Amino acid sequence: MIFRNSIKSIFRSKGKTALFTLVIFSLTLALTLAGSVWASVTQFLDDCDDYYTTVALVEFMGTKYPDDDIYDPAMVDGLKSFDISSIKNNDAVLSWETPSRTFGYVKEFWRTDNFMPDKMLSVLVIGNVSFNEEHQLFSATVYKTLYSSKIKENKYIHMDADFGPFEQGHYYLIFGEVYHGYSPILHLRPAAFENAIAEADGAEIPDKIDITSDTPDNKFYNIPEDSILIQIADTLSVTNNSVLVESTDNLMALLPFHQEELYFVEGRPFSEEEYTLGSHVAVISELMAARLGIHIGDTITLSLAISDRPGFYNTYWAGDGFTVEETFTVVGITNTLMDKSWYVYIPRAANIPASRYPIGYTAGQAVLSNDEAVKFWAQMAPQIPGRFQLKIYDQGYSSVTIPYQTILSTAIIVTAICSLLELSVILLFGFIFVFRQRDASETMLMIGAGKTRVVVYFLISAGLIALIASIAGATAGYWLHDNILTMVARTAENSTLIDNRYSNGNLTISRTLAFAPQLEMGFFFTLGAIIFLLIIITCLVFTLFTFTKRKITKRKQPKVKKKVSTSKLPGGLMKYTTLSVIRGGAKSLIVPLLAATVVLFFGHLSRTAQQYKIQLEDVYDNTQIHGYYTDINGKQVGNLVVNAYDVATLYYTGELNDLDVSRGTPYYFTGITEFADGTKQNISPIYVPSNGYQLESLIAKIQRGPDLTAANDINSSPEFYYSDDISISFLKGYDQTVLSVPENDANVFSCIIPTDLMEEHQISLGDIIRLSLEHMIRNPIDNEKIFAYYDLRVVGSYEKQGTENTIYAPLSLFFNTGLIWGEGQPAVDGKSNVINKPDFLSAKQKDSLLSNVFHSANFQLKDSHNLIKFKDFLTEYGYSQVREAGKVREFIILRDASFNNAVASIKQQNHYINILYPFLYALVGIISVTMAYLLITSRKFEFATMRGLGVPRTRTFFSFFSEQFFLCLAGTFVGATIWHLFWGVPSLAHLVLSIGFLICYFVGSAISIVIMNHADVLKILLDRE
Amino acid sequence: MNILELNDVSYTYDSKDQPIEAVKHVDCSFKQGKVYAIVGKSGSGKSTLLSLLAGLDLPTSGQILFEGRPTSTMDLAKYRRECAPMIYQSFRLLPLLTVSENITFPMELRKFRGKKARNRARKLVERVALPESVLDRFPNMLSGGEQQRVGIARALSMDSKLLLADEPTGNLDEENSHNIIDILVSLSHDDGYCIVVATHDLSILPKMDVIYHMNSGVLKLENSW
Repeated sequence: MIFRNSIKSIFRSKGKTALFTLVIFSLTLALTLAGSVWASVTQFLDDCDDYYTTVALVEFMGTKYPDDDIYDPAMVDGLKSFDISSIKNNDAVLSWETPSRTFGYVKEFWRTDNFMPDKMLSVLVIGNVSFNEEHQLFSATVYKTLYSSKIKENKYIHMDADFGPFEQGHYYLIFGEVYHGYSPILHLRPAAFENAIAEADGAEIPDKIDITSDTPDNKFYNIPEDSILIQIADTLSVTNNSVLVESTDNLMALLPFHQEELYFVEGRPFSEEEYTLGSHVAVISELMAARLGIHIGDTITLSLAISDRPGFYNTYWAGDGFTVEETFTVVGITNTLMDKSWYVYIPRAANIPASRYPIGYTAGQAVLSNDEAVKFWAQMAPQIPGRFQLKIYDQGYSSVTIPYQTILSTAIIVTAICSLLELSVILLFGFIFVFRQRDASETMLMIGAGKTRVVVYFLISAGLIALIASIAGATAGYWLHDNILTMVARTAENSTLIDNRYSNGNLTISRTLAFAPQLEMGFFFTLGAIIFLLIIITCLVFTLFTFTKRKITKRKQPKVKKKVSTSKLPGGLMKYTTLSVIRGGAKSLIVPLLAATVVLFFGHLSRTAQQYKIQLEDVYDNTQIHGYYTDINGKQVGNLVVNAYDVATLYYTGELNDLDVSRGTPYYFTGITEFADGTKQNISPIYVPSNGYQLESLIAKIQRGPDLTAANDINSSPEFYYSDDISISFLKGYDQTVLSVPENDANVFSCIIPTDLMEEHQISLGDIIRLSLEHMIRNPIDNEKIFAYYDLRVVGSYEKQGTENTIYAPLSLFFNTGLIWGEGQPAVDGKSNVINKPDFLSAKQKDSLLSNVFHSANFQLKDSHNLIKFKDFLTEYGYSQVREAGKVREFIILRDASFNNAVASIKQQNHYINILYPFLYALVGIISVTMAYLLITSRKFEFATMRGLGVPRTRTFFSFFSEQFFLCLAGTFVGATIWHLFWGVPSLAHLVLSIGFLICYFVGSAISIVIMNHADVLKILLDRE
Repeated sequence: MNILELNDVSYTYDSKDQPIEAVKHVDCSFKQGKVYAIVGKSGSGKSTLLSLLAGLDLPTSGQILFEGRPTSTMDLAKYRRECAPMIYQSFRLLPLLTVSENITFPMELRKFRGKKARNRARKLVERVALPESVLDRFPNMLSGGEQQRVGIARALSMDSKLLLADEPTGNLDEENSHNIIDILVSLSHDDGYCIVVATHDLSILPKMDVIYHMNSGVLKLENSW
């Protein structure tokens, strides 16, 4: 009976039953979908965290950067003033590793790469030496190669005349450096051999030793076993075939592995156990394995040289220097990268001693918590001193996850709102379906049905509705979630906030992890079950309330209120309104409180949105984006070949406000032609020898020299690009602008030279020096061929950063600067800030530009707002990005990573606001209309009474509407005043939103009053409670 | 003279299943100076009839004449405001107005305002045997009987000689019920009001001048003194 009546009760209130079934179904559906997005995106972000590894690399930008096996004393100096502990101890750092490298040797491994330290040095036995008068050089036959990577036995070679004299028919042990001349025959020239051990022993190194045999044993020569040249040969055969042993705690986090330049072709990386135990296991290259003829499981014996002298070349000498010899089992073989083919990786805990001097330019690297990398970079980058650079390689983690993080935040809020709405509806459902039927409960108790039956009566009807709605919602959620998640993935793809093209934040490889969540049916039905249970519990609680809050048997006692004097207000339209407002008590506070809260809430929302806009504008206004031409790996800033036409075209875009280029050529210091005091010195130019082989030798000599670099800004030249402490002294009347001001018409160009060169050649500021270059011209005096030379006035001196004595001259020395910076060019005249095609160039100008190259070029963007447009231009022009060649094989990097991260962070918030705020605005609108309706309808008896007393509809309308209008306006005013006091003048958006709220509330009130005005007064008035 | 006259008055409620004829062809008249009672079971149509008399709605057919004029030709709100005051079982006082303001409310609708209106309210309070002190109280500070007297005073403030009462004693105890009925009878007999009371309280019937019985929408004269 109870069951039947309970079921009947829900069919007898069809409207309410249908409404609540629909609402609970809809909210359950919304909740399961929002929850599924939350769960899926959380799972995906966790997967991303496992899949991606973010590495921070601290490197020293030395003059030889990016050489990986070099020892640079400048880095050691730099490290002394660099407190790296702040990086190590940052919360984002999961592990920190300082490079642990040492040089070693594996017997029988030989190298052919271009990274061999003394690849061209050779120790040979020669004979059959003859002197070629015409070419002024010696020719000889190689009888034995004691060490050479180039010269084979029984070959014919040329030797510089400096090696002489030789005796006819004698045999020699000779040491020199091989070079390639214009002829196919290899040349040998005298060379120095630097080895600290040999030097310490006081060894003198001759360039040849006569080893002709004087014994009657039919030998033509005897090689003295104790000869120093034999020792050099022995040393070279080890140092030139050396291996670099790198100990690590996390092989896969080392940059070549992290960037997937190195990968396993056989075997595996080290296991956790091997890392922990320090097992003697190694990973080598495929090339090394092949040359050693070994496979996985075979062993190699590493001989390691550790000493107090920097560099392997100073550590080993003729069998002396190896301090450690250990055997390692090969567990992994990688692909062959030419510059890493001679690396051997071992676990750090194997306790192989590291070199006491840094090898390469890496100061350390950290594995970071993926999601804290951006914060880490923002904290640490400003603390990195001098020429050190911090780079983050995240394998594409941030660009993949940022859109999903935004979606996650939104999903969490939507889920929370859906949950709150669901809870509210459940409470309302319990209230209406149970508590408001407490008469029925009371009656049932009065007729002795018992509490259990009452509970069953209510729970069956409510439970049936809840069951149907929640199961239907969960089922629909399960069916629809795939579509929603597909939409999420599409949204994420379309809302990538960072344009990583050409960015220094895009030096990393981009790994791809697909968003493919797998949510089980159980997830949806668990949510449905939770909702069902919540409804049952709520209804049960309300049922229990009906036992205590009885309606029939309990009457309210009239409240004794303080006496209030009757109003003296004149009767009229506003009297009832005024009295209602004044005497409404807490009810009169609801609307103003709501209005004030909404105004403050909207103020907060619009302020937040506005702040993001201001922040974004600040970032744009205060960011200067620099860019530079580089190599395919994005490491070099110099030693490039960049076409001047391409650089000019870039400048013609009008998007650059600074363009610094340089072009260098080797010079040979010829002498001082005029001293600062005006004293002249007769320095002859270098005449071109008529002998071809002498010419080759001379050209080779000039080519080995340092560079004369024409640049328009010394600070931006490759030597100083990463330096912020350049020290230059100028001759009075000169400054750095000397390089950028065209000196096309000058007889003597200015130059800035290193202080070391000044000391070496006794040069003073104001002196004019002559530098000879490798190309040849006719001497205007005697019409003889000479090497071209420049006479340059020394107007400045600088402390060099590297080892080279680079001389800086104005750019106009080598390049007609008018082609780029001359009048009439749109970028110069400020006529355009759009992407231009250089149509204005004459054919001659274009040819001139096309035939010129720069060896470095870097620039600064005029306006960061135009970054995307500028990148579009680069893409359209065909410029190449690091690791991604375009049709123009010139690579450009824009140093916009931090800018992008800042912008992305703000845009992420903005994006999130753009998704969430309309939802909140709509919610506030709905709440305001609902509140207006509830407040008006709660006064239906007042309406009915007034209507019963004959008050016209227009009067009731204006009476109630003016009350709501006044209350809402008062609340808005209070909210606006509070806002003004604490946060200043409201923004336009704030005003618009507040007016929108007022309109919603007024419309809601008006509609509600009209509804009440047309309600059945008869029914209300005759309601006998 | 008949203040109210009903000629073949019927009223039908619209219902989803079928129309319900709550009042069927009622013919009757009400005179000043008499107290009329309409009795009947719940759902017999007596309250519907009373609300038709009060101008809360118009008859579906037939006509109601107030002082000879059909209510159908009148502005119903004005009719309620000036001609047909009504008191209700649940008093229907405006909760935010004091007793004085509740009583002056209908007067103010007729532009009778200020001190004059308040003085009149004071007199009306006295007329319904309430102390003057209640004037400044809110309805919820009064007992049921007091609230109903305020309701009568408010009805009297309309200066009509007709007074309709729907179950005026329904929410009152016996003593208060009789007091209220005595006031109504006094108003009728002493001041010439025509009082129409819909009730199922048989204990008050002996004080009524005319008793109508309503059954299934049909009105029959039961007794007349």
